[in-house]
Amino acid sequence: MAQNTGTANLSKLTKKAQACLNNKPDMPSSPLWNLGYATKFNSSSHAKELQDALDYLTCKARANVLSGKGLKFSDDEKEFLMELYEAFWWGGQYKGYSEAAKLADHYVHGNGKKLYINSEVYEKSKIVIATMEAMKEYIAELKAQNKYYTKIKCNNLTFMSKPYAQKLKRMNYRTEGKMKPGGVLESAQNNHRLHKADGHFYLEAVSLTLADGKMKTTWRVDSLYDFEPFVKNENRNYFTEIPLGNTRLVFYDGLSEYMTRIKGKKTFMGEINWLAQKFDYMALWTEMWGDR
Amino acid sequence: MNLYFKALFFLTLIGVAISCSEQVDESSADAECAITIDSTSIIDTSVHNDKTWYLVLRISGWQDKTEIVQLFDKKPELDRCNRDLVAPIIEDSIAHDLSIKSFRIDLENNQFVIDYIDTPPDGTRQMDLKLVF
Repeated sequence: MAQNTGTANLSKLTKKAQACLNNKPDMPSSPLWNLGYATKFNSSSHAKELQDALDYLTCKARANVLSGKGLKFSDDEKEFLMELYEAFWWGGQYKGYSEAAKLADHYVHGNGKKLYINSEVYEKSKIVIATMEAMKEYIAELKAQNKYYTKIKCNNLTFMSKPYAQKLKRMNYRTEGKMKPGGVLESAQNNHRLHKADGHFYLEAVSLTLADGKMKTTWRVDSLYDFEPFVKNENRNYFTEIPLGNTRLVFYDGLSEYMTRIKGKKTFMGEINWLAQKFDYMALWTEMWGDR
Repeated sequence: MNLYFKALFFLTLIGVAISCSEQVDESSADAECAITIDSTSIIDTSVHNDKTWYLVLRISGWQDKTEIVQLFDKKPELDRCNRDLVAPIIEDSIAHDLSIKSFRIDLENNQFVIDYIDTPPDGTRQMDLKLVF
């Protein structure tokens, strides 16, 4: 019975996929133009062109992931997706979210290489500032007890049990950010610059004692830029709404993820890269602090 | 032509931005929307103590999503940027990589009481969020 139900569901999914695949729109030749025009001049027609294209490509990607169809993406469709991500770089820069913009651009142009981002986006964050203070208390404590303190991460169980770390869990999620279960740090909702670059991360401290007794700590955040793939349960498929004047663009995370499975153009050296590639990114900064 | 078009467009955008620019508190009603806006959905409603309560799931972020649960004692209302026009009674983010074993509302202490468990290896998160007082 379970197998029959599974087959019936697959058939339903296939029919739904086929229905939306039948509505193939033209790919807008310049998504940046459409985005800008729709935003600044409230042009619903420019927004609709983008949404129709995204809906079709989402449908195709979802059909491939969930129904095992091997539908190809045309060169126009690939170019549209690339240019859309490039447009996000422009948009991010315009809004002052330079790290988020750089990350979006690297997703389609970085070939999966590791990326270093400006640490300022973390250093100015309230949850990071508070966690650094708490971790320094812990490091000083360990040093005083002649215990290992060289490399400490914020999800260290002993650190998390300390009273000065407990208060990190009670910070305001919206205005400050907070420590979540498992020790992961969550960006403040109001801090759009950080929130759009890195929503959840771990902070690591690598410390040494200098000759004059002061401490030198290198702070470090390592993160992964990737998207959640499509899943069968429709309610669990994440999407992002991008405001365009009086309307909104709906962009599924699964489509961004699927871009890592689409082959792009051949490079000058004859290699074929993927349309997008997930990548590691990191930020580093150093602090000298006194005897505690 | 594409590169020329893009450069021309961006320069126009800068011009418009400069002529229209005004430092506005992003949280104020007149502020432009952020580059992405949260998606929201009412996931449960219930009558308790002669009041109708609404439980809302709000999802924010770009590649790294944050899930937020909000409790309202009035029907939620949003502005064009999906910002709340009615203040929630309680709101907090939930752990994005753990499953929820149980969830209830502690009105006296203005908090959600959530028991988390590890998500199974197949990735199917349990997230049964209902209004339980």
